[in-house]
Amino acid sequence: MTTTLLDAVARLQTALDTLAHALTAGDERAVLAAEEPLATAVTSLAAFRRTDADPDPGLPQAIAAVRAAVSRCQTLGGSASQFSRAVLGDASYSARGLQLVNAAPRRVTSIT
Amino acid sequence: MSGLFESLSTATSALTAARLGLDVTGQNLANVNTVGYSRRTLILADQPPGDALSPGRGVSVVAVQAMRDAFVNTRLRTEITGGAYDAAVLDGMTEVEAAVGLPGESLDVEITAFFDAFATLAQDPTSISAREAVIGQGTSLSAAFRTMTERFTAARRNADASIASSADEINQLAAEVAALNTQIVSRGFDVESLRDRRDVAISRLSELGGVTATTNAEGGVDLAIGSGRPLVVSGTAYALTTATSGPLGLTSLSIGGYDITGEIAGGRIGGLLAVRDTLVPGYQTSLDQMAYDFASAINTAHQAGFDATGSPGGAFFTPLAGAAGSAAAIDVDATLAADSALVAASGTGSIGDNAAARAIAALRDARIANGNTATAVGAWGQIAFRVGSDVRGAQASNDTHDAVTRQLQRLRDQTSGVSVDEEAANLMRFQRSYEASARYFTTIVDTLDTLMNMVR
Repeated sequence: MTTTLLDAVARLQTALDTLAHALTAGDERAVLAAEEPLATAVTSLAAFRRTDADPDPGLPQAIAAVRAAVSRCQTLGGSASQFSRAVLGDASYSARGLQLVNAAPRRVTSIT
Repeated sequence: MSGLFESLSTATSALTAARLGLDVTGQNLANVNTVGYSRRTLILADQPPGDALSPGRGVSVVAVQAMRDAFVNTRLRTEITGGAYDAAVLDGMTEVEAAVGLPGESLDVEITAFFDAFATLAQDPTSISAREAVIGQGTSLSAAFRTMTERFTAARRNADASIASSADEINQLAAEVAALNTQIVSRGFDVESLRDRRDVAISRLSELGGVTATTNAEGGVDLAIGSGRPLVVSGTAYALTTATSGPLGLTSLSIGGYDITGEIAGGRIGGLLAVRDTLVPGYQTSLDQMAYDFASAINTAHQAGFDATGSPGGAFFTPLAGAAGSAAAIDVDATLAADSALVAASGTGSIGDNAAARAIAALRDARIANGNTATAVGAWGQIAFRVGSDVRGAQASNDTHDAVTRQLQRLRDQTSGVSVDEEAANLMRFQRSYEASARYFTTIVDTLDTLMNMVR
């Protein structure tokens, strides 16, 4: 059965939605598991050439939806990165994975 | 050397610490569902020994610490502000989308019916019923334009009503924060519950008006709204005042004598203002232009023809002075509406000629709107598409804010009860896992650009 361009875009959308869900859940195993279907979907989509163009009227909307999904994943990833930096400090672990002595402490704003 | 009494004292201090530890744990458990509660922990320190041969004098309680992460709280407030903005836009836009209706069930149907009536008249230009039908469809189409304008106005008024009520709530919360500031600063100790309450109030203020919070040297929190206008400074709250202005009596917001209506770009009020002052007026302007273009084109074609008495045709629609307000003002010319013989169907003046009726019916497919770039139905389709696109955009943005808020809350919860090492390792794993997927994003965006070029 031939895969249409719309199918490929839909699969990419599904893969990105799965990644976004995993990022939202804060579950690193789910985030890692989302990578393989994403790689497959990207590879599948990249295989299409200009001559394969399928003038499906739903394609522009599907592409817009994928763009929104990418943007959402980037926002979630950026948010997680900021959080990590705030908790870990920029260089709280050395290249060997050892915790540095002057790592940024957790931020506590009040002590009574 | 430590004596018996010193040993007893050491044991007593340990018991005291243990009891306080249980109290703190109990407090944490009791408040597990309390909104804004920050987890408390007991800070202990060993008592130094009395002499060189003593192992120490037990443990003392230094403090009860409330775990607040300034970064996460700030990030959460930012997301709450953005989420509230999008939710308000979505609420308002959903109402507008319902008013605009689906293709084939809205203004486009009336436009099509109007041209159909002229096509029917062209088939029998002497038919009185066909002439009456043309006037009837013109009246019906005019009413549809006016109804759409009323719906847009209603959407603006509904957003406005919410703005006024949100301003009242902002004032109540600002007064609460100011009072809590005073209590926290004056009491100086045992103020964690007050701080939690203040955090909840500030979060709600962020949700309503996108306020920014700054902790001052005394431990109070100062709040600003709009372009840095003070809302709370230590123990003083400045009231947000409302006034109505303009023909629609819409609410404007002021603080300290300055009109800040145009400055609030975040939170629920920011979203409501965007709907009221930017989005819906934009659709209204397009609708006005469309009504003006449509009426002008029909009038021009109608005036080129001749009525049933052989006289030159007059204006079919009451001439409009300009695009502004056209959708509310469009109507069939009153003289023509009273006498169907004045409908110009003939192109030559001879009875039975149908050139003018055909010419008007042919305008269905002519680009008469938006600077002669769109048909009448097409122009309406563009407005409907814009509304739909704005709703989808607001929905997507709202979903993202919601997801980021949930993510931050979960990450915060996950890192609050475990050791620093463990949370660091988890966070690093999380980051690395994300980076594995993030490397595809550039490829995806590039591929999508190529695809869009392919399907255009």
